[in-house]
Amino acid sequence: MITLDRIIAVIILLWVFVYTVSYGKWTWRRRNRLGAVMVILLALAAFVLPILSIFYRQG
Amino acid sequence: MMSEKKIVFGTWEVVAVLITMISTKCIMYFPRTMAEDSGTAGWIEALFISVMAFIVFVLISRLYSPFEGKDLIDIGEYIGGSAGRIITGLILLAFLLFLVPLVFREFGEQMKALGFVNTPISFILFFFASGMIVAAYFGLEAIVRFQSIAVTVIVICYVIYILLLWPRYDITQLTPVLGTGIKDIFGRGFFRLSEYAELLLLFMIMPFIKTGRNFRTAGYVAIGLNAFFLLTVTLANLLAISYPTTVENTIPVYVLGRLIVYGRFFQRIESLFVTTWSLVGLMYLSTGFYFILHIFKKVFRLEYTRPLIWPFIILIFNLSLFPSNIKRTIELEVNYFRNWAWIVAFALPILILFVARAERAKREKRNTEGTR
Repeated sequence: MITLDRIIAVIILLWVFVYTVSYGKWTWRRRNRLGAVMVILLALAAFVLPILSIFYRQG
Repeated sequence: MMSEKKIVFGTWEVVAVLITMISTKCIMYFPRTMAEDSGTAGWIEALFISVMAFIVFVLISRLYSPFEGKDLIDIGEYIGGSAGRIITGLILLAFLLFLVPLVFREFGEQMKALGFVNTPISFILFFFASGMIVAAYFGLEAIVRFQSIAVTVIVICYVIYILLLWPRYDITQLTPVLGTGIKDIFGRGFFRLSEYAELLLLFMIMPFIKTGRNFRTAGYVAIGLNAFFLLTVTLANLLAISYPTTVENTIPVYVLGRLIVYGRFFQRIESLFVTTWSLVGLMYLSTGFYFILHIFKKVFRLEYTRPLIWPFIILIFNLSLFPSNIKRTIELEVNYFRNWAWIVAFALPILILFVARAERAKREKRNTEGTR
């Protein structure tokens, strides 16, 4: 079910995701490929994990 | 903000961080765990753990001597280049990413139990998370310098707290002296060496201490003071509340506070405990959180920690909500983490340092042969 608190949570998560990915992109441009990949993976984890627990967590 | 490379910490500042990180468990589960393990001999187990930690630290500090100013990640890199750095860093990161969310949840749940029974756990955790974010923005220097002041006040309060319980102490409650038996004291006590697992942070602070002498002094003083706190809190708990009643208290120190009664006006001192307790919790979590950011930054050669604050706090927040309840959270920490954390906290540094010394000897030999 879509509620106001969930919408706010998703907006915050999206903002953090974009912010972190942009840091990853900046790191990539500095030729730190591994660092950039890890930052983007971190951004993905910090986006996907809360989404899963918000929408699919039992109880 | 001052560049991390220019920051230097004194001995007391490092000791204060280690007191926060190791002795926080005094106000959480530690006195109960000791009583559960060894009965009335819980205090002997606490002493045994501290002696073991001291011996292991003596060994590690001797092995560390040629690597002054280097932390474990630097030494990992010295042994195996980038792969060594990444493997060591990822192990340390996994260690902290298991510990910090558990402690984060425990503090939240205990706060809920102490005074916010009807408040959702996520709402309470939000306030701890806010403190961690602010601390991480200020950086390591602010976190450590703040603790060097706060810990002094907390230690004085703690000593007064223990002394105020004096009329409640009954020495006969320590009998039988060997509690549930020598096997429990030393057998279970061996694995409980992990209660000192946070000493690992000393090996990460090394670049900020600079000299090996300060490193050793900080380590010895920290282990000595932590031994004092862990021993006195276990003793106070066993002396004031008879075994096995004591194993039923989720937060033993809080219950001890309720026993302090001096006339009609000086009682219910546990209300002061809640304030100190949340401050200690915040200091513990801020330090743990900052080291997660620091390790991630160092391992992957990133330039800033600040952009990592938000994704990591979201990650920790979510990981902390994985255990279904407080019972499961404490079980994960006490029965799993505190039984096996010594492998990462002590066995890993010893292994890395042994290999690094062998590598160093090999390189020196090669250099000597090359100059001939």
